[in-house]
Formats: sequence, C-alpha cells, structure tokens
Amino acid sequence: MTRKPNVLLVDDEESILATLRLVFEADGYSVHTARSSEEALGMLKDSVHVDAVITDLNMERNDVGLEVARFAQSLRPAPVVMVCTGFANQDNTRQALQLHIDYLVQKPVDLTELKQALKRLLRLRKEKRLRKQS
Amino acid sequence: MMANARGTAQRIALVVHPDMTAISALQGEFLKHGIATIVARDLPTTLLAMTQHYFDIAVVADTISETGDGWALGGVLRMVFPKAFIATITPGSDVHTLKNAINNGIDEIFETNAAFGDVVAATVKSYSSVPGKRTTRVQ
Repeated sequence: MTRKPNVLLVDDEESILATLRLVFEADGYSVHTARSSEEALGMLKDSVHVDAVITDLNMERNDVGLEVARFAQSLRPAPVVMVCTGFANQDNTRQALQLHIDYLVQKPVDLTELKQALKRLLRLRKEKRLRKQS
Repeated sequence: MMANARGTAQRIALVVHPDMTAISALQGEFLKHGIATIVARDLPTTLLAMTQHYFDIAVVADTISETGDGWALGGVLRMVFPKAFIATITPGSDVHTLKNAINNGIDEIFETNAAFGDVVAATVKSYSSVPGKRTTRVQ
C-alpha cells in the first residue's frame, strides 16, 4: 500500500488553511497546517516529514515565507516547495526565483492549477528518486 | 566526443533565438569562454538538437515562433536536462515574467537590451558556481 503524500500548508489566514486542507485531503493527501512561519519552521525542524510545502509569503512580517522555503529546501530529501501569495512583487518574486522554489501561485488561487502543479511536481520528484535508486 | 552535463571536458550550450544577429553574438561570446554552442532559430531545429546533444547551458528567447513559446521550451529543457543552467531572454522582468521563469524551472532571466557579452558571462559564472545545484530542484 502506498502512503499518502504529506503536505504542509503555511498561511496566517485560517480560512485559506481550512479551504486548502479540504481540497487536498479530498485529493488524497495527508495535510499538516501551520499558522505562522515560526510554527512551520518548528514542525520542519522537529522532523515532521513532508513531501511538499505550500507557504504564504507575508505572515509575521513581509516575505517571511521565503525563510520557510529556504529551510525546506535544505532538508533531505527536499520537499517540493511552492509559494502561494497575494502580495507578489518584483523584489520577492526575484528572490523566489533565486531560491529556486518549484512553483509560485498568486491569490486568489486557481485550485485546478495548484492541484495539477503539485501532482506533477510530486511525480517528478518520485521518479527522480527512483532513478537514483536504480 | 559525446557531451554530457557537468564534469566533462567540453561543455555545450544551446542558444534558441529567432534573431540571427542575436544567435551569432551569443555563439561568439560562448566561444570566448571555450563553450561549444549549438544554435536554433525554431522549435523543430531545437528538438532535433535536443536529441543529439546533452546540454549544460541553454539560453532561450521567450518568444521563438509564437508569443511566449520560449517559456514552454524552457520547461521542457528543464525536464530533459535537469542539471543544466537555463536562462531566458525577455523584454522585461515584471512579476508575471518572473513567475513564468519560476514555474518553468528557469534559472535566470535577462532583459532583451542586456549586452550579449554580459548575458553569457553571467550565465557561465552562474553555471560554474553552482555545480549540481539543479539536483535539488524538481522540475
């Protein structure tokens, strides 16, 4: 039996967390949530295994979501890292590009796009891991 | 000699641009850095080149035949050559452009008015300074 992929959702808006939790659980994911970057970093540092992190940018302070993205990318195996923001600007988007995050979606979120991107990225990650093992 | 990504004697760059002047200039600049360059002005030629070479670097215009088709090509290049450094030449660097770059696995964007020498120098520097960096990225 294959395990459900773990997704960590990070957003300071409870309604967004609740909506995305419903959407991703219905799609067969196991969902963890964090209401701040601090909580998310704590979970990641506590070795909560996640296959993907979807983080807001502006929470405790502007662009703090990039710190979550940066830390997530340092994990091994590295999860898929997606940024979901309503406040994309040239500066934080360029920083996200330089960080090599995997995907960026802007709010209001196109759920179909978000789900398809996550599914595709997780599959690519899985195939890459299998290729490494063989 | 068959080329492949990173750690081989001969690095190979792919340049895809609809403008022959740009192609020629970029090819000349890569040559100065000792990098062999395969060039293409259209997508069929690009696909043929991708079947014949393993590219370490790719510099692609954001528009080749149709508006924005260079982004999709960049995404394909990322999947085929996961360790390659891929740059796109675009008219601007607004949020939409940067988002396109991220979501297609592009490493860097350069504005159309950037000097070709600067584009190639920055590309070669970035490629050389982050060996294997691409292995951490999914796309």
